[in-house]
Amino acid sequence: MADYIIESKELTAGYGKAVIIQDVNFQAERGKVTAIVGPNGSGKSTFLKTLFGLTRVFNGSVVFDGEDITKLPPEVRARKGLGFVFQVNNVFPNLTVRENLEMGAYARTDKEQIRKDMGEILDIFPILRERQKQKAGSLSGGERQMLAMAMALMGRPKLLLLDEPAAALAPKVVTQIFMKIRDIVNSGVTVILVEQHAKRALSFCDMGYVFSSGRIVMKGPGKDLLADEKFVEAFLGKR
Amino acid sequence: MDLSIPLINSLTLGSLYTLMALGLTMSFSVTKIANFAHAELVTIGGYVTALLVNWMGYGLGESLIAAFFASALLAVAMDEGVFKPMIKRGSKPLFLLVASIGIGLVVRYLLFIYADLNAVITVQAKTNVQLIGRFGRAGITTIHLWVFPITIVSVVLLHLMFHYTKPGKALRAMADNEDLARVSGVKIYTLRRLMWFIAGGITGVAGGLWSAYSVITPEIGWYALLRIFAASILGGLVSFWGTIAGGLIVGFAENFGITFMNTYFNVSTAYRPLISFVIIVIVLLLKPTGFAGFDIVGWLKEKVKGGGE
Amino acid sequence: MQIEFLASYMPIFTSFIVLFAIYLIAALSLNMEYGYGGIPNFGHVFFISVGAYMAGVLTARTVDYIAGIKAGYCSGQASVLRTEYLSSHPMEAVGIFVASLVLGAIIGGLFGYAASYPALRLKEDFLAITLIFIGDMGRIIARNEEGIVCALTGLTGIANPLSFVKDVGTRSIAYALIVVAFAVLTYIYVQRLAKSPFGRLLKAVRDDDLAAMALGKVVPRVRGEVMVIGSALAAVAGVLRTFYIQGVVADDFQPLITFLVLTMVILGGMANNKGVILGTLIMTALDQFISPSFLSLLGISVEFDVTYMKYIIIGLIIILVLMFRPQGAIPEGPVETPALELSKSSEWDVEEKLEIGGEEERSPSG
Repeated sequence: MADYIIESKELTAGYGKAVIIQDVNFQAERGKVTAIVGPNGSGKSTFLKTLFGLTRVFNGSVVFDGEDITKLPPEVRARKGLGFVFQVNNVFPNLTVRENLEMGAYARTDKEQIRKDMGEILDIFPILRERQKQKAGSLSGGERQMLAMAMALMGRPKLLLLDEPAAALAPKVVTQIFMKIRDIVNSGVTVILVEQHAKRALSFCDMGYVFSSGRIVMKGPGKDLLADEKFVEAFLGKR
Repeated sequence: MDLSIPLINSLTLGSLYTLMALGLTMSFSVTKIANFAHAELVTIGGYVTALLVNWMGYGLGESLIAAFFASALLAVAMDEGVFKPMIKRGSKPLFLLVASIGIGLVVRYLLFIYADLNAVITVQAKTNVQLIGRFGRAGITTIHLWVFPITIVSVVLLHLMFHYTKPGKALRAMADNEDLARVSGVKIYTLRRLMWFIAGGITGVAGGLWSAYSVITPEIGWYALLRIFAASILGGLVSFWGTIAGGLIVGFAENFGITFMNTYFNVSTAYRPLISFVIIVIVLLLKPTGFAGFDIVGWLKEKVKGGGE
Repeated sequence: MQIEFLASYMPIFTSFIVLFAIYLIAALSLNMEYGYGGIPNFGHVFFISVGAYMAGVLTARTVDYIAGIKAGYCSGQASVLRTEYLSSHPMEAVGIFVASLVLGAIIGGLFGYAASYPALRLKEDFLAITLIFIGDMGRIIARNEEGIVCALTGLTGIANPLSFVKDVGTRSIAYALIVVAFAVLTYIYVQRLAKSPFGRLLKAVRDDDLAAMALGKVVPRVRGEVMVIGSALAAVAGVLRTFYIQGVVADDFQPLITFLVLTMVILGGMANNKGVILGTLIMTALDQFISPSFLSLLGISVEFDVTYMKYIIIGLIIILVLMFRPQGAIPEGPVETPALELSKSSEWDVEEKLEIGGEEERSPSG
C-alpha cells in the first residue's frame, strides 16, 4: 500500500453557509507531486484551503501523517509540518524580505538551524539575498512568488501546498518557478499543486485529480490523464 | 503675535494625541475595526488616574501605571466579549464599528452614573504642579516633564517591539495579512490579546496624562476621538510613523490654526474641532481609498530618495 | 372620573405618538440609505438638524419681517411676539409651515447630494467615520453662531402651525394627526420604492460588488439618489420636530440621536420597513419613558440622571442584537419578483446552489 502523507475522507466544506466542495476523497503520496486541476470556480483552491483549516468543514475528515487534523486551527497545522503558498497576497508587503523569511520560520524554535536554513534558502534564491532589506511590497511578481515559496520552505514543511504558483507570471519566470518546485520535491518535500493550466500541471505531476463543481470527477497518473480522450475533450478542448 | 504658548500647547496635546492615535492605529491595522469605543479607553485612563491621585493619595507615576492596566484590560474585554465572538460568527466589518459605538455608550454612561453619584463629573488629577522654566511666555511645568518623556519612551519602546521582537514582527505581519500569518504558525488570538492590551494601555496612559494636564469629564474620550481619528487617518490608519506625524500635525494645526484664525479673523476658539474634521475630510478626499494609506514619512522618504538620485 | 383620568394621560399619549411618528420618518429614511442602499449614513442627525434649523430660521425671519418685529432675533420678546402673530394669523402660520417642509426637504436633499460625493468614493468604514463626525460638526457650528438658531440659547417662538386653535388638547391631537399622516405617507413611499426595480437595484448594488461593477455608471447615480431622498426625508422629520417643540436648540442634535435612530433600524431589522416600525416603537418608548419626568410620575426617583440609563440600554441593545440576531427582529425578506413565486412552487436545485457558491477564486488570470 502506498504511503499517503495526507488524506481527505468524504470532505464537504465551504464558507459561511455555502457548501463549495462535496464528498472529496483525496490522497497524496509522500515524496511525490500531486496536482489538482479543473475549471475556474471548481473548488480547487477551496479544497487546498480546507486541507489547511481555512474554511468551514461540514462533514468528513482530514488525516495528516496518520493524525486526524480536521478540527485543528491553521496555526497548529503549520506547526505540524504543513506549508502553504497562497495564489495571491502570499507575502507580507510591509515587512522586509528578510522579515518575511523570518515569519516563515515563525513556528520553529531551533535558532541555530534557522540561521543555517536562511543561508541555504538565500543561496537557492539569490535574488532574495540582494533584496533582503527591501520591503516585500516592492518586489516584482516573479520575485514575490519566489519569496512566498522561500517563506514556506523556511517553515521546513513535510508537505507544501501550492496554489497556482505560476498564475499571471511571464513564461520565462514560470519555467524558473517550476524548476524550483522540482528542486523542492527532490529535497524530500511532498507537494500538492493547484493549477489552472492543466497541461502544464499534469505533465509535471505524479498523480492528478480533476475537480469540477466541487467534486472530484477524475483521477489518475498525470500522463494517463493527458492521454485520456474524455479528459482532453472535456477540459482541454480540441486543440 | 507671540507663538510660544501655542507652540508648547501644540507639543503637549500633539504628544497626547499621538499616544492615543498609536493605540487606534495598532488596533485598526491588526483587526480592521474602526473602534469608536477607543474613546472610552482614554476616559477610563483619565478617571483612574484622577481618582487614585485625588482620593487615594497615590503619586502620578503609580496612578498612570494603574491607568495603563485599567484601559488595557478594558480593551481586552471589549475584544473578547464582543468583537471576537462577532468575528467568529462571520459579522460584517461595519457591524463591528456599530458594535463599538454600542460598547462606547455603555462604558461612557456607566461612568457618567458613577461620576454623577460621586460628584466627579468634572475632575482633574491634583498633582503638585510647579513651574520649572519658561519658554518665551509659555511656562514649562512638571506636567510637561511627564508628558514628553512618556511619549518619547513609549514611541521608542513600541518601535523596538515592532521591529526587534518576534511578537512585534508577527503583529506587523498580521496587520498585513492575517491568513498568511496563520499559515505561518502565528497564534493570532494570543497576539490579538497582546495587541489590545498594549494599545489599550498606552491610550489609558495618555488619558491619565490628560487628566493631570487639564479638567476631564466622562465625555473627554469622545471629545478626543475626532483628533485621534484625524491623526490616525493622516497615517493611513496603518502607519506607525505616519500616526506619530499625524498626532503632532493635529496638535499643531489645532493650536496654531485656531490662534491664527482667532487673532486675525476673530473666529471663535469653539471652532477648534473643525480643524481636525477638515483634516479628515481633506485626507480622505485626496486618498479616497484611505486604506492604502497616506504614509507621510514614506512619501517624504521617496521624495528625498527620488531627489537624491 | 374615568374621562378625567384619561385626559390627564392624554398629553403623554399624544406626545408619544408625535415623537414616534417623527422618529419613524427618520428611521425609515436611514433604513433606506443603510438597510437597502448599504450606505452607512451615520451622520443622520445632521440631516435631521438641517430641516430643524431650516424651519426655525425660515419661520423666525419671515415672521420678524412681515410682522415688523424689531426686538432682537434671539430675544425673549421677539419669541413672544412671533407666537402672538402666528396664533392670530392661521393662513400665514400654515403657509410658513408648508414652506418650511418644502424648503427643508430641498435643502436636506442638497446636503444629501453633497454628502453623496464622499459616499461614492470612500470605503464603507471610512465613510461611516466621516459621516459620524459630519453629524457633530453641524452642531458645533450651530451652537456657536447667533444667526442660525441663537447659539446655546436656542431659537424660540416657532409656534405650532395650529396654534390658532385655542384648545391645547385639540391642537396637539390635530398636530399629532398631521405628523402621523406624514409618517404613513413616508412608509407607503419607502415601501413602494423598496419593491420597485429601483429598490431591487439598490439591494443588488449593496450585496454584490460584481453586480455593482457590471452596472457601471448606474451605481453612483443610484447611491446619489438614495442619499438625496433619504436626507430630504430626514430633514422633513427635523421640520416636524421644530414645530412640535416650538423651537430649536443646536445641542439637541447630538450624535446620540443618530445612534438612537440606528438602533431602531438594527433592532427592527435592516432592509425591512415593518421591522423598522417595531424597532421605532420600542426605542421611542424607551426614549420617552426612561426620563426623569416620567419616572417621577411613577414615583420613582434615583440619585443620578436617569437619561444615562437610557444610553446604557441603547448601547446594550446595539451590542446584543449585533451579536445574537444581526438580522433584527424581523429579518429582511427575499427580493420580491415574479421569479420568486416560481421558485416557491418548484424544488430548489441544490446542485445549482453549490455552483453559485463556488466563486472562491478571484484570480486575475481567470
